[in-house]
Amino acid sequence: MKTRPELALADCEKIAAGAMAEARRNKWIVAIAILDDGGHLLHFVRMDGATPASAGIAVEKGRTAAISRRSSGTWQERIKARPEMLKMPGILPVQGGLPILADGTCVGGVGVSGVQSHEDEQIARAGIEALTQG
Amino acid sequence: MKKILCVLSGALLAFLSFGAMAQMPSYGATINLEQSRKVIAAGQAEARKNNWPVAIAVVDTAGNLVAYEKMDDTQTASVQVAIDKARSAAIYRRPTKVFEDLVAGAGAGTRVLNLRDASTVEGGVPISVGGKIVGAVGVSGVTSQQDGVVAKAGAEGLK
Repeated sequence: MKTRPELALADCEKIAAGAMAEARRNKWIVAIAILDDGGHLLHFVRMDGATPASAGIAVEKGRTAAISRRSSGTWQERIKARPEMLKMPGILPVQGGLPILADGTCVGGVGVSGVQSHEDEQIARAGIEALTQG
Repeated sequence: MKKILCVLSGALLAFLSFGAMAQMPSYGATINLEQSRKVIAAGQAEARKNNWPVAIAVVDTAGNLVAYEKMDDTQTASVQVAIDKARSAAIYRRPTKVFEDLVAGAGAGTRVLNLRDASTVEGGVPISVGGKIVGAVGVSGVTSQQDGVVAKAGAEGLK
């Protein structure tokens, strides 16, 4: 039987703390969502002042990364050549969502929304680094 | 005669639910992240004490997510159910148990099944600060009655 790693709540707390630290360092106000490899929400925070819209966007970016096992930014690039991919279910093709990799497998995704898309991704990356290095 | 009684009890129910509505506190300033995390921590403390794996969602007065945590080994369906319960409690300004009881009472009470974004399962309660509703907490993972215990503990964690 194949076994695979699974994100525990304690892992999510590390990711969220790392991401929030990166956001605060830059004075960025964002929402941060962490999902499992099936795209189900595990952990969520919306910093004071972040828009209501950022809640849903963060979750969808994270879900995109989690279930497609690639960054939502990759999808943003892909649809330029193939706009028909906009109809793909569960895909929000906007940068700011990254897959979480552990032992060479995708265990979930992090989605961030609130600032510029590349900054959102920078926050997501800091979160994942807090898990893998912490 | 029976029919009249039915109509009368329906009218009474409508009056009672209107009366209950009139007592609902107003919305205050919306809950912030720090407060939301306190609510989740208090809920989780209650859940851990009982060995109940649950998902806990906290939403603002508009029903939008502010904070959320799913404990290890919580059933997958509870992710959305917890959020739905919190949203219902926030936008209707009353615990989801109120709707559950209305449905259980059958008759005219079942009309709440048709209310948009209403949850009819116990486990969602408004969060109040200084007599004003600032948001709501929704819990799912164990029996709805147990979910309600966790939600109550969470909401009280702010007091």
